[in-house]
Amino acid sequence: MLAFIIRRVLQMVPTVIGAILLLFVLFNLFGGDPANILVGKIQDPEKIAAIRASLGLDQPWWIQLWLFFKQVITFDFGNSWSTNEPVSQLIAHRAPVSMTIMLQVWLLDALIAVSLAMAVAYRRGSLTDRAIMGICTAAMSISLLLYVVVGQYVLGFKLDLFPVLGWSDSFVTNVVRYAPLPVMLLLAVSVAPSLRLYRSFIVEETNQDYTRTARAKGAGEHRVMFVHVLRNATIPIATYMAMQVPQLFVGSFLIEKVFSIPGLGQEIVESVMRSDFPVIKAITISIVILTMVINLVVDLLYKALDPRVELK
Amino acid sequence: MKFATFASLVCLVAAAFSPANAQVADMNKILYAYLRGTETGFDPAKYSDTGSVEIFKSIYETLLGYDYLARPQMLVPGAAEAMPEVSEGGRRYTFKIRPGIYFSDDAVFKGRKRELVAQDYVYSLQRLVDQNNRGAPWDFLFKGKIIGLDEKIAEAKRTGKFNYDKPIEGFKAVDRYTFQVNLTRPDYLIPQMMGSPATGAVPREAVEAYGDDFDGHPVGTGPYRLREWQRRNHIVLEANPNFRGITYTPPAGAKVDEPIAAQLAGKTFPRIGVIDIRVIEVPQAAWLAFDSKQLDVMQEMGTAYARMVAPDGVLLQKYQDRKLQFYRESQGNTYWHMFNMDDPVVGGYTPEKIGLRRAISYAYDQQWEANIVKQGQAMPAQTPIGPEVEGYDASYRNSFYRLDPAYGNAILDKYGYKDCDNDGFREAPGCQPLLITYLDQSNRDTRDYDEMLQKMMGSLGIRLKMDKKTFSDLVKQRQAGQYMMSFGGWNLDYPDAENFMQLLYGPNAGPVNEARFKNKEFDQLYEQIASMPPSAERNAKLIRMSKIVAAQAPWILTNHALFSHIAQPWMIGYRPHPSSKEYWQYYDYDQSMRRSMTGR
Repeated sequence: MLAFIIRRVLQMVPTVIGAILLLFVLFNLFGGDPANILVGKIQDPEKIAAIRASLGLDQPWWIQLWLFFKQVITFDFGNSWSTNEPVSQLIAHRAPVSMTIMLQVWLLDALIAVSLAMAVAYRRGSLTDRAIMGICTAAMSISLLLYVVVGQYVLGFKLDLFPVLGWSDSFVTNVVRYAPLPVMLLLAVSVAPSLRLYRSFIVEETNQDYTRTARAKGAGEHRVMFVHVLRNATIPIATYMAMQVPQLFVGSFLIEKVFSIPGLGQEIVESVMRSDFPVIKAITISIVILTMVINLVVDLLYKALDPRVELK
Repeated sequence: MKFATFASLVCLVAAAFSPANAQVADMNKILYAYLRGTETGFDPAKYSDTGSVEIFKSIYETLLGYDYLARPQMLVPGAAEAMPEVSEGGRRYTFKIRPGIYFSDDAVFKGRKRELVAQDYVYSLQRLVDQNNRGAPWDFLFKGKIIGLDEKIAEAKRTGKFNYDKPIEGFKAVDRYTFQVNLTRPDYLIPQMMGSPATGAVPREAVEAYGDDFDGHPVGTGPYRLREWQRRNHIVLEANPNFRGITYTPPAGAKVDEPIAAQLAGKTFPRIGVIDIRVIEVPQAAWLAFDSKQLDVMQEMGTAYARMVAPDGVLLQKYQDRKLQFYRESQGNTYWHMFNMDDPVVGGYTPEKIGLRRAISYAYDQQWEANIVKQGQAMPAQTPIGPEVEGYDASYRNSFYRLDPAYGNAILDKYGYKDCDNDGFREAPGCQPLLITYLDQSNRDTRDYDEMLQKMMGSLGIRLKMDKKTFSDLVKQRQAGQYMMSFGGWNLDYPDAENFMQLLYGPNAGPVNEARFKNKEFDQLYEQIASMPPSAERNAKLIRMSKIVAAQAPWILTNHALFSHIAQPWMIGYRPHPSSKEYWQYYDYDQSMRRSMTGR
């Protein structure tokens, strides 16, 4: 197991290098010039040159690339070009905000989708199954934007069930007062595809030989579903859920924008718009590393869930 | 006896160090407001974006300011005791600073009260041209005007460091409270510059102690100070305990909003202790927050919501019944379409090129744009000068700005723009190809504009191609003069016509004058108005300049945007200002009415 972990960690190094090179090339080819944004109303070439020099953009490309590597190694990405805020501070302040919303969505999505998937798989082909699948298709066809706009208007404004927008410094206030509406709206979009996917995982398992054997041995339907089927369906479900983990940090741009939530989602999109390379670099590299670590954890989880799995 | 003497002495000392009106803000009063765009930082030398200016204008004090209610806008003393003394034929301005103005308490002052002195302005104004302050976005205010300043800028460029210790004749502290500006040539706009939000005083020791962190650690003498800052989301200001209370008296001869002036009479400001500002960039979210009474005031509503609430500039009955307060006015801006005057097809000054541009101008439907594209939140522009600024003449009508495509077609016929190959589109004189490319920004929602421009060119039989570019590429192309037509807009830096006319001044061709327009008469007039005090003679010259622009048509003027503002019924003294942003200090609200209507 230790050899497997060491090997996987070592494999991460070339992946990170690849991500650095790709990001560097993409930014320099398509990223726009931040000096044009920072200079203000009058695009004075002399000032633009001065700003580029102050940001280090007048340096040869290999020096800029080396600086990028150095930043990744030290994990110090300096200050945001557009706001002058230390990037580490920016992430430290904003990632927990996104997580306050996204962690709830992630957990509730899993709980609701797995429960309903079990229920409909249990009654596969029934009216309930077809009705829920129909609702899922309809729910998936509607864009998040519509849910957000209508949800804010109807549930927040008209029915006054939730505040229209806002965020506070208190975690409890945020969870109890400001997060419920955004969480509900995100769930309205996320549960449907998860449910369809989990249902297919579970249905797949119910067709396996071991399920038929269990039934032939006289196991009750509940035992078959909850002990045999669910345990085996957990592997693809866990994989799918694990792949969503990096998104917990990234948040939802739209939700954060509409509800004035100071999360990382807004920051990422605005950093791209402002060509704020230090922020883009820090977040992208963090997500790359996080994704690789999550993949490793999922592989280890497979072993825990199914001892027959061999880690090579 | 001894005790009485001591007590008298204490009272005398206390009186000597107390401001004329003590600060009376009620710290239990919280105003809920919003910014419709993000802020960046609160160092006035580094940031010029609207969000940042709106906040820091309440933190720092400028020597002069704009009267809260006077329209047209009127300069009045701020941190200065009186308007400056002008001497040497407009080359010298002497400001007397009010004694007893103190910066808000800060650890950097080590427990001592820090008084505002003339040297603070010497330092603060020099910071505006220091390129190390994020490229010095405000350097245009003083560059090329102040004795000794340009030499310092050049030296800083050589050494990489701006020498604040080296005195210059141009910015001089004559004594503790006397600040003097000495100019290289007469300039009657200096008082306007001293009302610009960037010219607020900062204490040098705080700037040096906090370094880059001064962005988030502002120390000023203004009515409010920063209490909390959650970047690009939430800003909380609180009344500065060291601020002298101010009263409002309408300036002599000024035209003011009388009912609001009556609400302010006899009171000491600021009244509200805390200003809670949330950044809300989505118009629906902002409107719903206001409509659900989460916000007390809503400055600058989105156009769609302004039309929904007050379709013709008047509140709908249901909102009138709620006694909402509503104002709509221009904020000194102008928008236009511009031609690249160096372009071989649309540029140039020969009769057929002028004819082509004028013809396009006659096909432009300003009213349609104002009513449909801008949803009634704009007024057709007659001059490059924005409304509400010195030199703007609301009665002036430019004969070239009328919708008359038939006349435009006749001009094109006259100058030989004919359809040589019968494909329905005109060719240039001599049957040369004619395709006009319009350089636009890719992430702007401009479908309405695109449709309008196509319709305009179509009515003249001219082919138009939209060329959408990212902001960076668009800027680069414009700076390199690689475009035919594009768009432009300007929000005032200071409310004077010169601030707009500089955009067409020949020597500014490039970064400022993006149309690259060069006209000898216009340039001469510009140089004259730039060094003239406001007068009828100056206004006549400005009208002549507007006529030159209309006749040569480097720009097709489109409109001046109108801004709508709305407030809850409990607001007192609410009157947004077209350019000055320190209005919060004059706001108040009826506590009991708000509590009864909102529970808070």
